[in-house]
Amino acid sequence: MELKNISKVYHTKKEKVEALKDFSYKFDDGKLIAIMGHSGSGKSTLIKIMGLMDTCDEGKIIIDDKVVNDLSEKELADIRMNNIGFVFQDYYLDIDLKAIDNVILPMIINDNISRSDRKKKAEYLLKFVGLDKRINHYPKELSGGEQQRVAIARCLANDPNIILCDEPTGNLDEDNEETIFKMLSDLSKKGKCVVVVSHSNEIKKYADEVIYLKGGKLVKNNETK
Amino acid sequence: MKLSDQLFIIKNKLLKKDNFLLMLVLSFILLIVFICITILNFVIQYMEDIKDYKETRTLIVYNPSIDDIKIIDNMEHIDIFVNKKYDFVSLETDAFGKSSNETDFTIRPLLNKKYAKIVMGKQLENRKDMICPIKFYPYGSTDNNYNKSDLINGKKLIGKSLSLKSSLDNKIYNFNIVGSFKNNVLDEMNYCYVSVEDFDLFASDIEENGCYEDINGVEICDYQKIDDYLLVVDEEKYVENVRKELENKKIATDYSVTISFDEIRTIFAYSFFILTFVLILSVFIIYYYVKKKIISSLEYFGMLKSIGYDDAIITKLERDELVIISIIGFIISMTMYIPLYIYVSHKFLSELFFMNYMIEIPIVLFIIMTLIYLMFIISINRLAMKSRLKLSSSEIFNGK
Repeated sequence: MELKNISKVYHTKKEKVEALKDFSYKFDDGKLIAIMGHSGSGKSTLIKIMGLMDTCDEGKIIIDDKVVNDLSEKELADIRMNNIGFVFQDYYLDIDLKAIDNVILPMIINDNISRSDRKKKAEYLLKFVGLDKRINHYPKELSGGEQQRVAIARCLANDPNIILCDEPTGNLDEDNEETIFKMLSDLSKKGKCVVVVSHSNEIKKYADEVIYLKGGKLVKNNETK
Repeated sequence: MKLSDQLFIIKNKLLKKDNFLLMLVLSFILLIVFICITILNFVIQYMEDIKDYKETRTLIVYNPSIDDIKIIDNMEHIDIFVNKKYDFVSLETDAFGKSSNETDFTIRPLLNKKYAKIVMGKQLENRKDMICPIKFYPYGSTDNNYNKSDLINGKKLIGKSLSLKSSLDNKIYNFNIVGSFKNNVLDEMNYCYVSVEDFDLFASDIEENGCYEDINGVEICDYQKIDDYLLVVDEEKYVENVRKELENKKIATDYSVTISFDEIRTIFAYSFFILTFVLILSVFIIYYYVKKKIISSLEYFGMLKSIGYDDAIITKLERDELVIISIIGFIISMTMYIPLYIYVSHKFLSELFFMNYMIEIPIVLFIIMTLIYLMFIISINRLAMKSRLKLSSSEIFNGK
């Protein structure tokens, strides 16, 4: 995924907020890229635009050598389904569905996965995140760390090559934080492009690249490993 | 998306607090609407049928003199003016599947053919022809013992013959049932029409005046010639005028049957007011609930979008959830409606309306009303979703 000269302005009643200013970066497959910065620096806006959940005012978003800015809402949803996986700070699991059903949820709209394969794949993914014994538990019966692991399994359901994480360990303790970062790191080693927005300095240990944002601008780009 | 996949997502959400509340609110709204529609439908039907029911336009003229009879014969708006012997005659028969003790069957002379609208078969043409009502109930029918399962379809009687014994000459006369006439009022359910000439074979111009026991315990009855007359006014609106005119001419009259139209109109007005009020109120209530439900689901919609669901699928999921809630609401309201219907129709209205009138369940109107509500809910949902789905994307990120 590549972003070229992305700008985004939010208009409030009183003022105009420049959330991103002329941001450009190439996010390579097989790398874990951490995005750091203070609150209001534009991290979440960046990840929203990368995840095609918001539009930019200027610039180009290129996925697999294709500019996707002007695609229809349905086409963008298709790209999200096939190419992008999200992990959020608050997990956002469907509390009315069991862990396994939460993982099945993205596969329902994917015609490439047959009905009979959905369950097998969900079981495999939950085993991958170490929750093979908790597949029939509802989110409220799982700890925060476990819920986040279900969310990771869910984001992998349609085999995306880009994984976007917005403060994935913001609600977790240190042990769980380490587990989640390690898991995300493993995914990058398997060839996925993992982008993590985080306040935690721990992420630097696992990141291949760290981007610093300030006032919507890229201020520093460190290769860490 | 297949229905089974939709149900997979929706099923556990149906009984969530917001949905449950909407379901209950909708059930009660539909229940009130159904009750009002039933009453309004009943009153409209009742008023319509009463127009054809000549008993409400019938006056009894007490012992008119020959001069009085001449005056009345020359009056306007008089459809029928005959001796009271031409009212009806009760006859014993076991031809309708029950013993004569359980049977309550009468014959009447067809004094004016417009009072029997034939719906099947033919009108009285020949001697010994007989026509019976389409809803035929020749048994005892009071408030509590009217049994709908005993109702006879008059059409099925056409072509059958009926033997009736006259108490005047003790002879048996055979009648052929040649047609069925339209009837709705229960009072009209137990009699068949014959020609005036045939009626004369059964009707006496002498009536019992009273009975007493003599010193030996033997019952002795007094008889007198029937002097009273029946007068049928051509239209309901002239009844009062005709009665006043007769009063002015010192001719004594009384109503054959009285109906409190004021009470009926009051019930209609109340039902109409409640229905209108509930319909207006329900628009706001449903709008509020649907909007509240969507706002509380924004994060959920955002999550669905993040995993690849497009706006159309999310709107469809939400719409189908509301359709299921509405259907369940309809079933709940009907479940509450049935016992209320039984109570209201058998206790309340049958006492209020003199003829044990049958109240029908206007199920077609109920379904139409439910569909209107459903379309309204879907429209509100669609509108509210359209403006809020965009916001849902931001709900799930930090620094919303």
